[in-house]
Amino acid sequence: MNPTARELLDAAARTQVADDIDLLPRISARLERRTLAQTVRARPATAILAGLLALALLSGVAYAVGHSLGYIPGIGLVEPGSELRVLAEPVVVERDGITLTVTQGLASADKTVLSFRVENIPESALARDYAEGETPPPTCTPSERLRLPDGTTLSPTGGQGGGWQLGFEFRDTFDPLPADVNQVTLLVPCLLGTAPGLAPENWEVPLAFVPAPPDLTVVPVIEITPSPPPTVESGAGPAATPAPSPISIERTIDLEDGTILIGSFHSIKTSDGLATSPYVWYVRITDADGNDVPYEYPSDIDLPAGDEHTSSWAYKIMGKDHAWPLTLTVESMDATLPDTQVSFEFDTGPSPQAGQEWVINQDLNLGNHVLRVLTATRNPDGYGFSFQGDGAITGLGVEIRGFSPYVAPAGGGGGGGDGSLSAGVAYSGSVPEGQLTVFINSVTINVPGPWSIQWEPKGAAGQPAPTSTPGPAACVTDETWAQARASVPASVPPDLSGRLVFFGPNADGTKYGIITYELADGTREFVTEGSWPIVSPDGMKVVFMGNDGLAIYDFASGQTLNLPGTDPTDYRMVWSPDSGQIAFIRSSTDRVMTINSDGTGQRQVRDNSAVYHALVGWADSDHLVITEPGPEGVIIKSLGLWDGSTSDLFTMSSNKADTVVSQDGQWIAFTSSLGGMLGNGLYVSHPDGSQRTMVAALSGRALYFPVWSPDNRWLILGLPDPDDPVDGIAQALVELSSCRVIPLPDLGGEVYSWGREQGGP
Amino acid sequence: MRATMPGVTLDDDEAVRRMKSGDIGGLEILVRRYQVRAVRAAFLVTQDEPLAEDVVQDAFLRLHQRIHHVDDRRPLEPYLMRSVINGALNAMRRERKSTSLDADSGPLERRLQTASVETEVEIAEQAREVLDALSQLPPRQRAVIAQRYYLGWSEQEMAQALEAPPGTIKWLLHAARLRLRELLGSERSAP
Repeated sequence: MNPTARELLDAAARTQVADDIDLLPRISARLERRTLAQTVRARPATAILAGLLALALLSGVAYAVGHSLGYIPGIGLVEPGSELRVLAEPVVVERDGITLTVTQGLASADKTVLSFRVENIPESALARDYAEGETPPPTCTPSERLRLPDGTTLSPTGGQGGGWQLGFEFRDTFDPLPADVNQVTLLVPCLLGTAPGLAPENWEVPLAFVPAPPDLTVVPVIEITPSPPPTVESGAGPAATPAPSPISIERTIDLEDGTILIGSFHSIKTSDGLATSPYVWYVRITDADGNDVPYEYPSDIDLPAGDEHTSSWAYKIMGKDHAWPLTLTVESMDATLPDTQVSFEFDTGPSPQAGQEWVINQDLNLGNHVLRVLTATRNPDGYGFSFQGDGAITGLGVEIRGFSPYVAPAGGGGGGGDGSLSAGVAYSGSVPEGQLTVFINSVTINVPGPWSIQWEPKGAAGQPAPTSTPGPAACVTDETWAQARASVPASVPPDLSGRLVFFGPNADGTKYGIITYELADGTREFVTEGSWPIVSPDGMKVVFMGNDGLAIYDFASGQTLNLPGTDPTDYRMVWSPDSGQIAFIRSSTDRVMTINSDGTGQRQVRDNSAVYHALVGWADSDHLVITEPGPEGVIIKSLGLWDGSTSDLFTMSSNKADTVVSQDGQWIAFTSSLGGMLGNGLYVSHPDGSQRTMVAALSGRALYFPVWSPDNRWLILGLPDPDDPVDGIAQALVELSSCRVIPLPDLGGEVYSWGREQGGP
Repeated sequence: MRATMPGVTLDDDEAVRRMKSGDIGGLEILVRRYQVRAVRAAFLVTQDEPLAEDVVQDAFLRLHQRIHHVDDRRPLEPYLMRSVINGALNAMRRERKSTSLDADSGPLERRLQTASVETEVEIAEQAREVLDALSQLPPRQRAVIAQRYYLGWSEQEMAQALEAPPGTIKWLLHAARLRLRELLGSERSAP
C-alpha cells in the first residue's frame, strides 16, 4: 500500500502527538482564571415556543394560515391576537463618539425583543491582543438587562449577536413586560470586546413602547399539520421496516426573498432497537432536479431547547424560483448503545513507563458490532487505547472502575473514517497499575439512512419548474464564461498594449518566478525568482517578494535592488501613482509601511494589529486606500499617509472582499458576495462608490484578485478553471465598455499586473 | 469524524451559537472534536509537541474570547485551523526556532510515489524521514505543507486564508516541496 501524503504526515505527527491528548482540563483551568462568571452570559433557551408549537400541532389542518403565530423580520415569531407594542422610535445614545442604537423593539404577551447596535468603538478601547501562553486580559462581554419602573430587572432569556471588531449587534429576548409598563431602561454595563475602563461603561438607554401601528408588517406563519409521510429509502438502518420519520416540517413563512421552514428532528427506533439521537449533523436540501438548494439559518427565530426525543430547526430557503418540490434529506443519525458490561483486561506489570505499549488484539461484541482492542499505551497521566471497529462505531468511552479520572467521568474518544478509534483516561493523582479491567461505554453507532421529506409551497404543484434562475446583468456570468471558453480562441487581442507581468515557471520548469509578456510582440522572458510582482504605474519597474524581503527589478537596466530593511513577511505591495513609493503590509508585526522606490525612507504608516485593514491601493499621493470590516460588510476607507487619519468612502455588502485600485487611483474593482446567491460578484466604481457597475456574477465560484489595465479599459479576472476546479485558476480579459469576455491564453502562469507601454501615456 | 458536507458543519454552527449564548459546553464540543487534528497541524509547523499544545490551547481561548466576532454562517474549521497555523508561526518567531533554509523545494507526494510501502514499520520509517526533513524547512514552508497536505486545503483555500494570490501559494509550496525532495532524496540514497 502507498500511504497518501496526508497519511504520512499524520503518521509523522502521531509519533509525537498521541490520539488521546486532552486539552480540556488546561483550557478550563485557564478559563477559570479569567473569571469565567464575568464573561459568560447565561441565556437559557425559552420554553415558551415549545408550548406554542404543541398548540399549533393541534390544528389538524394541512395548511392553515396563521391563526397562531406571526413573524416580524428581525423580531421573530409573535403570538397572534396579543396587543403588540413597538418602540416609539429608534433610540440613539452617544458617548465619547461611540453610538448605541436600539434599532427595533417589540413587546407582546409572551416576550419582549430588543435589537441594538453599538458602533465606533475606538481601537484604543479594545482589549489588547495577547501572546500565546499569556493570560488573556480581562475583556467585556456585556450582560445587558432591562430595568422596569419599579426597579426590577429582566435578564435575556435568549438571543443572538455578533461583532465586527469596532462594533457589535445583539438581538435579545426578555420575559414579557407587564401590560401597563411602557417605559423601560436598557442597561449595558460595558461594551463587547473592550478592556475595563477604556470605554464608557454603565450605559442606560430609556425606551418607550407604544401600540403597534396597524400597518406593522406581520408575516403570516403557515402551519403544516400533520407532516407529510416520510420517504424512507433503502439503507442498513431502520429503512427495512416502516418507521416514523425523524424529520418533520411544522411551519413555513413566505418571504419576498425566500421561505423559512421550521420543524423538528425526532428520535426513532432502529431495527436493532436502538434510539437515535434527535440531533442531526447535516441536512441536504435539493430541488426536483436534484440540485442543491442554498439555505441559511435565520438569526431571529428562537428555537425551543431540545431533549432526548426531539430537537428543533429552522432554515431559510434562499430564492423563490425552484424546481418544486424540495427534498430535505438526512443521510445518517447517531445512536448510543445502552451501557454494557463489556470489558477487557490487561496487565501493566510493575512500574509501567510513559510510552510503554501493550498489544491486546482482543475482539469484543457490542450488540451487533465487533470492536477489536488493538493496543494500550501508558501516558504520563493515564492510558490510551486504540481500537478497530466495523465502521459503524463512531465513538466510545473507556473506564477503569474504582479509579476516578480527572478528564471526564469516563474517558472518551472518536473515530476515523476507516473504523479506527481511540479513547483514553487520565488521572490527576496516581495512575492505576497492575491487572486492570477496562469497561467500554458510551458507544456511538452511525445509523445510515437516508430519510427525506418533501415540501413545496401551496399551489406550486403542477406549475412548470423554472428552467433557470435569472441572475443580475453582468459581463461575466456562468453562461457567458462558458460561451467564451467554447467559442473564442484563446489569444490576446491585437489592440492591447503594454506588458503583462505574471508568476510562473521558467522554460525548463526548474525555477518559479517573475515573467514578462510583451503584448505587442508576444515576447516572454523569465526575469528573476520571486513572487507577487506588481509593475509601477510608469511601467519601468516591478516590485516583488523575494526570499529575503521585497525587491525591485528595473526593466531598463536589468538590475535588481533588494529593498533594505524589508523582510520575508512583507506583502500586498501597491505603488504610488508617481511610481516613487511603495506601500505594503508587514505581516510579522501587522503594520502598514511605505518605502521609497530607491530603498530609502522606510516608515510605518499605521499599526494594523488592533483592527485588520487590507491595503488595496493609493487614492492620491497623500492617501492610501484600505478596507476594514464593518457591520454591513467591508468598508472602503481612505488612510492619510502622514497623520494616519481615516475616513469612510463606502461600504461593500460582503464580509470579505478582494479590492484593487486602478493605477491612477480613479477606479476600484472589488469582489462581493451576491445577496441571496451562493456566489461572488465583481463590481467597479469610483473610490467614493459612485458609478458602481457589476462586471461579474458567478454562482458558487470564487473570483481572485482583479488586475487593471493601465488605461482602465480592461480587467483581468481570476476564475476557477473548470478543467482543474480544485487548484486551477483561469484568467479572463473583460473589456468594460463592451462587456467583451476573452479567455486569456495559457501564458504559463498567473498575471499579477499590467504595465503600460514603454514611452506610452 | 462526524458526517459533514463540504463547507457546512451544522454541529460546529450549533456549538458556536451555544458559545455565543454563554454555554461553555459549546467550547467543549469543539475542543474534543478538533484538538488532536489541531495539535498535529501545529506540531508539523513547530516540531515541538508541548509548544504545539500551547498554541492550540491559545487558539481555543482566543476563539472563546472572540466568539461574538465569529460569523456562525461560515465553516468554523478553516477559521480555527488558520488561527492554529498562524499561532504556530508566531510561536516559532517568538521562540526563534526558525531555520535559515529558504531554498526551493519539491513534491511530498512524489516521495510517496517512489516506493511501495509494505508494512507499518516502513510507514513509521518514512514518517520519521519526513519528520526529519520537515524539521529542516523554515516554519513558513512547513505551514504550507501542513495546510496543503495535512489539513487538505486547496491552493484556492490557502490563497483565501492567507490573502495571497494563488500563484504566491504555488510558489511557497513549490519551494517547500523542492526542499523536501532534496532532503528526502539525499536521505534515501544514503547508505
